[in-house]
Amino acid sequence: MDRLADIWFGLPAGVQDVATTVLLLLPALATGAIVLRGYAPGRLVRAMLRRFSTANMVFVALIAISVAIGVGLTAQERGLRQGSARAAGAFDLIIAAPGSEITMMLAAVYLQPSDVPLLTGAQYVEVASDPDVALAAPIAFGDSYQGAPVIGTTAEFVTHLAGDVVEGRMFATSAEAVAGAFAPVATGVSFTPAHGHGPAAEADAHAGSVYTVTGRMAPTGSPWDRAILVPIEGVWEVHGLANGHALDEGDRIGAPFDAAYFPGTPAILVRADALWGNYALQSRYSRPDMMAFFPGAVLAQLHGLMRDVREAMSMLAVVTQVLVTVSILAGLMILTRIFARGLALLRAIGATRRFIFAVVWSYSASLISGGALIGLMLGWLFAFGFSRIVTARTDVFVTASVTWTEVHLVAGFFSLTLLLALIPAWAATRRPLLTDLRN
Amino acid sequence: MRPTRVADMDADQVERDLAGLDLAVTDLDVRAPDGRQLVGLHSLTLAAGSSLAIRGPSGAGKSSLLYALSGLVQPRAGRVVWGKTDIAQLDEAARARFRRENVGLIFQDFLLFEELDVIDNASLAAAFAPRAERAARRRQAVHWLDRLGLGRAGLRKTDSFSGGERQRIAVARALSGEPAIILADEPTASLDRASADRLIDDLVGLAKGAGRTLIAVTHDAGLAERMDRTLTMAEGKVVGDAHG
Amino acid sequence: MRFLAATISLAFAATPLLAQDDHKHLTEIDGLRIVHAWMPATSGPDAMIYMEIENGSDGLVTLSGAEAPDGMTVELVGFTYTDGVEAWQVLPAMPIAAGGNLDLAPRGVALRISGLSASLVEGDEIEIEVLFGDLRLDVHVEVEDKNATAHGHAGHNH
Repeated sequence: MDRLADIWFGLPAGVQDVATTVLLLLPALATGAIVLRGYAPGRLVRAMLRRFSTANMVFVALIAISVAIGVGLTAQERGLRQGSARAAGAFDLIIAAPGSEITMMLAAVYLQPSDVPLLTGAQYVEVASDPDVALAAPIAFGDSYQGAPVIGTTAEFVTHLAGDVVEGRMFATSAEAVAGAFAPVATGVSFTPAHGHGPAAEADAHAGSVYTVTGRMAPTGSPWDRAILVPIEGVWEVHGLANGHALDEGDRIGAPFDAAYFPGTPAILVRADALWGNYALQSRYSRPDMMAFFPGAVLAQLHGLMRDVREAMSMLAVVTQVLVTVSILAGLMILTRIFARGLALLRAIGATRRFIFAVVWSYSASLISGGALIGLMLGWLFAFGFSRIVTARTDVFVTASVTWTEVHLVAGFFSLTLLLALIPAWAATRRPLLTDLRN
Repeated sequence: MRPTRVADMDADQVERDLAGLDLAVTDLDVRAPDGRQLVGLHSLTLAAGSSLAIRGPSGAGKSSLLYALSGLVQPRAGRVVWGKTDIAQLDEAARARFRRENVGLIFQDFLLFEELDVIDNASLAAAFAPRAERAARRRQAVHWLDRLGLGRAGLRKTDSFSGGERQRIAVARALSGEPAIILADEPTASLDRASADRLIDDLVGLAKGAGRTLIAVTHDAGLAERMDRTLTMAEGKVVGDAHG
Repeated sequence: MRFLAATISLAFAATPLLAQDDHKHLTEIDGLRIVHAWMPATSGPDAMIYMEIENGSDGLVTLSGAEAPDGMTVELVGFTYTDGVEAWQVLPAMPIAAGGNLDLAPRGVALRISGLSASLVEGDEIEIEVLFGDLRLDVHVEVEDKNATAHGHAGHNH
């Protein structure tokens, strides 16, 4: 048994997936091979399918929709999970003032507006000058323009997040900005940010302050694609604060910052070069006056909490599919009564009960197969369409695709229902021959 | 006593039986599920290749006798021996096989599959025949359709045909297995006179020409008078037996 | 055998410096302390071990891994979450500065023990040697509930 398990776990993932699919389909295939052995009921089954084409199409549609909901839900849930994880991919470690990690993650990674306490200049400088820290970028949120968040940071962070700008150039002064890939501003235009977000934003609070967009970032598949990134000095200046640098430094922007002139930042994105570095930094800066957390770990924890819900959802999807199929099989039992005379004729001219069984089972199997296949495709379409809606609404790039998980789900459903289809087939063979023939 | 099964017979026996099956019925007792006697027949013999009409009022037991002769009904008692095979002793699967190999059945209302084309209807038994026989079954079906004047209709759906044509398709279906016995239940009852006359010609001609035994339940005097012998039934009993 | 020898030699040689409290939650040598070592109950051959390491010594120490008896292996691993898939990557040695600390915690850094021959249930205890270069610390790892997220005594100040 252990040896078998060793062999199994030694197989490449692709082979395991194919093998699992085959194993799941095996009961259906074996049933089919046994039931149909020696018979050629194809023409009769096609005749039965044509006979009540509307009812049959309704059955196929019901199976397809129930399968599609199951496939679509699981694909969508995974797509959302992967998309949200990918959007957080560039955020190795966040350091912020103590508070809720989830709130801070939503604010700093997904740019959901939030009021949070600030880290001081001394704290920032301590982190930035840590020898294990390769990048310490302040992330200052709070302003917006036409619904797009205006985020103060450094040029290093822009490059870290999206690589080199794909259009124009990086900001070079505190009055310049680069636009996220889908931000509502064009290169070359100037704008005045509003204080705050949404309906509560104060449009005139920063009157007189203007940013000019000098470049555009490549898409990142995250909410940052709709953001406008400005030097953090600009954010401070717009709010009438010191700009992080001593006066004798002139108009210079970017690190290093002077703790004495540093008005504060809600969060710092930190990354280390060494493989162990981020973990060491997380331990180092988890202390009473600061918190340090991995957005990936917080997200994993959130997704972990949802795992039970997810499993319950998958289970419900399967149960729903089976219930729909059971009711359809009940419908088929009624429908086979209408075929009863034809089936009785077959027996009269020499067909055995086993042949009748094969015909009725094949008929049910055709409806189930058609429904399952169409359901798989519909499920993919459903997930695809829903992904686009989610992407448009949240700016988290979600790609839901049908993977082996869904194929396994459908294969399992297929086998289970083909076994259930043995019941109406058996019932059709137990009907009184002469009564049906004379009916 | 262990019943004789067709499956148990050796090849020679089956071939000899197929060449012509004499019928010998003795002490046949067919009952309805409620115990009412439908047929009580002391003795009936019929030589292979001859024809028999069964007449009588409704409820006389004509169809029940026909179904007992085909093995569709299991009698409470008695013997129904075709050649050497007492089909009353066979189990259901063996009786089905006996019908498939030896009997062609024709019904009053044709019992065709509307969604199948003419050839598929006529060769219906190919679907459950052994793989080796399927092609021959289809060939024979086409042959009989041709003989019955439906050679050009092969791929049309049956719902476009008249009653007479449909019954001829059903005849082709009955003949596709080259049966030694043809059993027909009111084959002309759903047809107009002209169609009925043509069907009678076809049925009697094709049966007699090939030496098949033909037994038909019928109210149709035109059909009965073409048969070698007419049995009249009332209340499950034979009340008349006329030859010629 | 090597493990036993190491344990015995440590037990004799280091007794004056080695202190363990009654609950065996705490191991300390030269100011290097390990507290609250724990792991969730297991059903398979692999498990994660968590603990708090405090470097109260004057110099930098480097966590290089751990050893366990009976053919079991232990490696230092860090949690990753890529494309929605949880995984652990093997880490090289991790330095801990004088006065610094390193928390091994779920979805962070852990010692992954492999080759467990029997499942461990809440209340069990296993013993491993945590390695800091040449320095070895015996640590009793308490088995907590399989869904636990922290040591039962976490938050206590030993």
